[in-house]
Amino acid sequence: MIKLLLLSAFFFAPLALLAEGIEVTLVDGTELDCSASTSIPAACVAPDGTRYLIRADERSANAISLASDGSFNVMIMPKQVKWDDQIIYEAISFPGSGFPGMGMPAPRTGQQAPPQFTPPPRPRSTFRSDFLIYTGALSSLDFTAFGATDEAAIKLSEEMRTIAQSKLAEVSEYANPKNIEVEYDQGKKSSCELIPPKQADMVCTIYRCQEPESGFYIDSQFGTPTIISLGPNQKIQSNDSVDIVWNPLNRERPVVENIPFNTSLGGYGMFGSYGMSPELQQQAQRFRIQSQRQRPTLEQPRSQTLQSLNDPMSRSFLTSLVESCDENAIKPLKEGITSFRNEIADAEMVQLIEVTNNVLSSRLINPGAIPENACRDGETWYRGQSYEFSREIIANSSPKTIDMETATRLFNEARAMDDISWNYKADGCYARAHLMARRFEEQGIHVDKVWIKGDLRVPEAGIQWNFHVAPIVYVEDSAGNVQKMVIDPSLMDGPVPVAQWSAKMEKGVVGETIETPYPFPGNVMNLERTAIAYSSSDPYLPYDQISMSEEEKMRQSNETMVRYLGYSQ
Amino acid sequence: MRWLILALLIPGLGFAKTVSEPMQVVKMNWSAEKKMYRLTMLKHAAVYWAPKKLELCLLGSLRTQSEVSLSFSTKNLHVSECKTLNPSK
Repeated sequence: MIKLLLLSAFFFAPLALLAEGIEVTLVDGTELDCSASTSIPAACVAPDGTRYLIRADERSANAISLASDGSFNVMIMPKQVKWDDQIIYEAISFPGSGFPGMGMPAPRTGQQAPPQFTPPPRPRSTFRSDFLIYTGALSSLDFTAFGATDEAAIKLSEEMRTIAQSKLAEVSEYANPKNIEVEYDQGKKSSCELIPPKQADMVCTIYRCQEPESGFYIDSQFGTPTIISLGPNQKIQSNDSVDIVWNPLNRERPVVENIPFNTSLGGYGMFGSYGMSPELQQQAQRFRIQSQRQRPTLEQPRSQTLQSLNDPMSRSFLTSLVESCDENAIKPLKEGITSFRNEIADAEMVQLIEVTNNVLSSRLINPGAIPENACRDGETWYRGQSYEFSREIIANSSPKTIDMETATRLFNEARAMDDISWNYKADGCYARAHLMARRFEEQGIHVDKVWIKGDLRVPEAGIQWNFHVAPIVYVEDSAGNVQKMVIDPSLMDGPVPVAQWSAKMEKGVVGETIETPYPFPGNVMNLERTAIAYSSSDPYLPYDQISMSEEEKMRQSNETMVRYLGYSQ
Repeated sequence: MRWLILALLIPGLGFAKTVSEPMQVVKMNWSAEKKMYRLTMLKHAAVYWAPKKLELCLLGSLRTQSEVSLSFSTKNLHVSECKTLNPSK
């Protein structure tokens, strides 16, 4: 018996040296005590008494904390989670992540350490910020506590849920009031009333205001709260950011408080530049300059105040808010937005082609923002080596022609190619076009490609594309007239002229379809337009690396078709 | 009648699949009509759709310009799952 005990001790002693249980370290270096739990999701506690619910797998980890004063934090980032001495999760730091201790590479020997980034102080609490914290906590709890079997974790998640629900009920009463008082444009004040929703199951977050007349307060929840006012002819006249919103029934704290716009810090909105590292601020600054260049010039007196509406994301967001509100009450604002979209579509812009990161790219820019080092050919501006590269892939101006009968034969041959996924049309036009083009060329046919860029829809086929491409051949009739004909069995029943092919696709913008040199401008949708461009048969995808070989294009084409044939089986 | 219903259903069932592909999000727009994110992917022509609950993962791909693994229905391109690639261990 003694021998047996000694033998057991000999074999099992090394295991005792391993750390058992769950160990969690947060990005700020805090080590949590998770001894109450034996599995993940786990309940842990920090030295200051704050309790944490932790979830982790090999891909991600998250945590919710509940401090002793009852405040929640759902933005906790575990740095490392270990379970029985095995690393379950470890955070990868990346430059510009904006979190202290994350993204700042360790200085090399002899180098000076980078200055420690200190985020600005947090803004004061408002009814809305609390509302977002508690709704966020409840939604995060659903995810974090999912599948929990550990008793301590289950108990903590239930306690957190009860507290969050009760606090949410307290602030909900004041966070989304029907009547509000807003302060905007350096001291102006107005009373506003919530517009009813379009349907009972919808939520309208737009208010009709007394001052300015025809003013609408846009409660954007996450972005900058604004007040839009309409001028004569229902045109959007101004778009002022709102400084503060009060609920007349409770002035203990504001419903919403906007942090002053500070371009030098790179932040905006209710959260300002909070959490933005210097690298991220520089990145934001570069992005802002590029955005400004792509901004159309509208009627001068209004152009400055409407900057945010020039951004397609803001327009899309505003449109989604408008669609949820009572149609009669919201009609003037809806008309104002449509009128604004038309103005953007009509604004004068020019195409700029350049080479960025070995990719030939293009966009429409404001004629007043053409870079100094750009050169012009017709209506298009080129920068750097882009002109030389774009000449190499230009569509042929005097191509070898074929007759209509040959074009129809090519179309039928293409439709019969059983290694091309004609039954899965949602994606892969670029691979289909490349394979067809090369196979037609093997027969001595001259082939180019037609590209269309925009918000494209083919409702009867349930298709929505950002761009589409197909091969074109040049058909000459008996009178010697040459016409570009598109070979596209994914959309048409035979070879068709480009205009007919384009007309098959509905456009989700209010502006016209324009013809541009290849590559098509990537931002046409933002400017409420559609673009058509022609190239030789060489480009495979827009924004390919210039150095991409033909072998690579064929490999990718074939691989894509094999995958998509599988999707349609 | 039962056979007729079955015959009508089978082709539909065959087409609607959920598949996973690595993709990089290059643009995210909130759609008013669908109450979903309209996604533009690098090296893809199709428009994909994702619910708001996948926002964080999709934004991660957009901001870090890296690929994520997306599970989507081949019928309507609705994304049901978004997972980060390159696990840390």
